[in-house]
Amino acid sequence: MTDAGRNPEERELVGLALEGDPRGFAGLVRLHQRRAYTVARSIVLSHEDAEDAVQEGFLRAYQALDRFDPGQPFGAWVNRIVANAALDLARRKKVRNAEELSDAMPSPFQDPAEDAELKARLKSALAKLPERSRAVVVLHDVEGFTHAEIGKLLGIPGGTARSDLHHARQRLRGLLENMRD
Amino acid sequence: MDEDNELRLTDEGDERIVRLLRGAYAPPADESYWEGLETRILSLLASHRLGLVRTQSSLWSVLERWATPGLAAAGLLFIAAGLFLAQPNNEPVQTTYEEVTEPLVVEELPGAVNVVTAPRDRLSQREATFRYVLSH
Repeated sequence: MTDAGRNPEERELVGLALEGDPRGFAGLVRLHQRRAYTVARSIVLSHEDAEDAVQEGFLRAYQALDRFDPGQPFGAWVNRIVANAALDLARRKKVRNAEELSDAMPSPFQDPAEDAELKARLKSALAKLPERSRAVVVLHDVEGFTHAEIGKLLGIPGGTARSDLHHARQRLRGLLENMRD
Repeated sequence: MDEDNELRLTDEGDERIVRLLRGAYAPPADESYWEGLETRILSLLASHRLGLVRTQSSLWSVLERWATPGLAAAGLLFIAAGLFLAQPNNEPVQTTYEEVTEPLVVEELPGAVNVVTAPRDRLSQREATFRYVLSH
């Protein structure tokens, strides 16, 4: 999946933000907060941590606005900053209980007993993955990012993202044995 | 990028895992949630403009920032310690040398025999003999 690109609205908002007009950055937040949340959520274990990372990421981006190259897509730039904020947060909270994965997870299954068991196992399996592995699996297999895009987001080569994905999938499959169709 | 390189879990028979993951990672669907998040972000920025907020500087970020200078300082310290320890220890050798070469200062005991060392040249030898005879 590619970045939304430099549409005229974004260009105008970036221009306003660089001139110090608060409406510019507010518009950029509105435009990019959902994707930023997705990136953060792929790295941290809970919805609440993802929110914190998004807020922290936008604040860092605001502080670093004078270093932003207006020729680049703002979304890719801010998502990278949000990813770093999420990685920092995940490291700070490394020893966390799998229980922190949202209990409000929507149920895709018919059988409530089976659903509960599978959700519990998924929580446990995801918590056991290192944050980068978890991010690579979610960004690639759930959100549809390419290896190259993931590499840019996480500050690693695309080949490393691909290799991480391979190992993370193996680990996840091992942890979720008997769950596959 | 080669299509084979971008195979998803769903392409490999893991639809069930992907369904679960999508459920777990689904962003909030309620529009009011996003309006609320935007408001919170903008409030945070406003607080920052007023100097009320600073970004969280994690231990990891601080460590990363100081890792290179820290390693360089540790390396210099190691080299300095190595040079110091590798230096020949001259002081004890010098002390031992002085102990061997310096004449011992011994207080003369009453009634002790004066030992006169025979000088090497002939004139001095005679003088020494004369002093010996006079002393007895």
